[in-house]
Amino acid sequence: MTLAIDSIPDVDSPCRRWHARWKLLAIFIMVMTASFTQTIPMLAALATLGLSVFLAAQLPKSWWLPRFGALAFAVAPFLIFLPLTQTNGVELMTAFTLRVTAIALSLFALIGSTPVSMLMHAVQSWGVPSLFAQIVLLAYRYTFLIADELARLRIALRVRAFRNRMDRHSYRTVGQVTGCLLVRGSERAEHVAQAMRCRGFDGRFRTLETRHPKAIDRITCLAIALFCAVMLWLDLRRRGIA
Amino acid sequence: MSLVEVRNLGYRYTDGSPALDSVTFTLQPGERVGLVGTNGAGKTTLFLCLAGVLPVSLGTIHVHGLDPARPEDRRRLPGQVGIVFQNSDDQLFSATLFDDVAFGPLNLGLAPDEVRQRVAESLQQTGLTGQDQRPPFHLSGGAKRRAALAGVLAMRPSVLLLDEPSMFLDPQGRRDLIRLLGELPGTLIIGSHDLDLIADSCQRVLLMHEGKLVADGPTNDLLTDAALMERYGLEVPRSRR
Repeated sequence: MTLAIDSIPDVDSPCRRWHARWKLLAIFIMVMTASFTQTIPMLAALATLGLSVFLAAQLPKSWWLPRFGALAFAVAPFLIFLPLTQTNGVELMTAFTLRVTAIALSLFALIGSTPVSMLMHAVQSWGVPSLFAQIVLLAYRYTFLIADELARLRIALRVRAFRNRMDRHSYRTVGQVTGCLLVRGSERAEHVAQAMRCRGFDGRFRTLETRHPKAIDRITCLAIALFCAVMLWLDLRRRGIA
Repeated sequence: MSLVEVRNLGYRYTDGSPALDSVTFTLQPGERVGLVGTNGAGKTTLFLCLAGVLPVSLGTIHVHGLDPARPEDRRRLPGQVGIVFQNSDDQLFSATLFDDVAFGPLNLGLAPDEVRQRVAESLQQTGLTGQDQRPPFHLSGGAKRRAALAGVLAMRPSVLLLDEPSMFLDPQGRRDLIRLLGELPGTLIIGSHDLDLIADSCQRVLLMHEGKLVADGPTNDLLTDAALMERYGLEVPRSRR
């Protein structure tokens, strides 16, 4: 089975010590600010902030390099085609790159320094319905699992001499495989739900963390929120909105 | 008083076909029972009813005085009935082995120190000490089975249900499992096609066929009855031939 929810690197970093509840809030604010900001200097400042948080997480290269590689692969088409297809393409590409960098660095710092159970606990502590947290967690986990099932089914088809062609037989087979995948995914989800219920799961994520947030956790979050608010205000001013 | 009491238990699938039909038996504390039968005999369905996962519509079940049909009892049932599923991959969902084993005790509302102690004990019991930070998905088939068992043992159930525990295990893994089963405390029900495993681990056998309990008796008597075994699509285990 593919490792779906990776274990986080065992690094004692400032970001790891930051209480999950306040870390989640600060990074949520950073991500939202980066999403709404449009001017390049402000985006550059937010990317720098993202880099600072990322560096504070002290994540090993072996953890972040493949993730950045995958991200770079996904955004590469935009970076190539934006300058070629838009009149202000270079500007758009720069803004896009900075925005993706700011968001990715912040999110990598968050998921690389917070165990999943703690993260879900933090999500719930902000009043997000536990059902939503569960759906997010299990959807993420089972995306990988279904990809594995698909790989197994493809092998099963290949060993029986199936070759994908543009004909009726191929379309029908692909349809059947898709249906089979959905049925297997549903069965698997049912089994996992049963296993969780059998171990007393009642819809709430619990964690072993007994640590209460310290003043520094809140102050760091507040400082980031203020920085983001200033960036957003400057951005709006530059755009003539504020 | 019996630890497990099942009376006239019936269960139908959603399409109306019967999965269990008038199943009646009792278990005493500390008993080790093999639940045998061909595919579709109803072993897994019986386990899911005992664990409170499937609703009991016909008949009654009492486990340690708890009735799975009552919502308030059903909430307390995971602390009394532990079930290890056929496919360990269904049971392992946390990022590390530690988190996975701690999942049940945390849901029971135990104090953090107690949770840590139980995790350490369960990992030691199942021979997984030192692997607590490994992702459970990266373990071998045998180790995954032991990890799933550790997750259930950490809840210290009074009744342990093992569904096909030797499935996918190599001979070494199977031997380790038999040794481990011998060391487990409490009441045990092992549902399996592996009759040699049942013969080595259980004193009593429940034989199921098409949702009915067709025989209940000492392991040596039942499993060596060639006519009975053949009638219900099974074979006398090699070790008893």
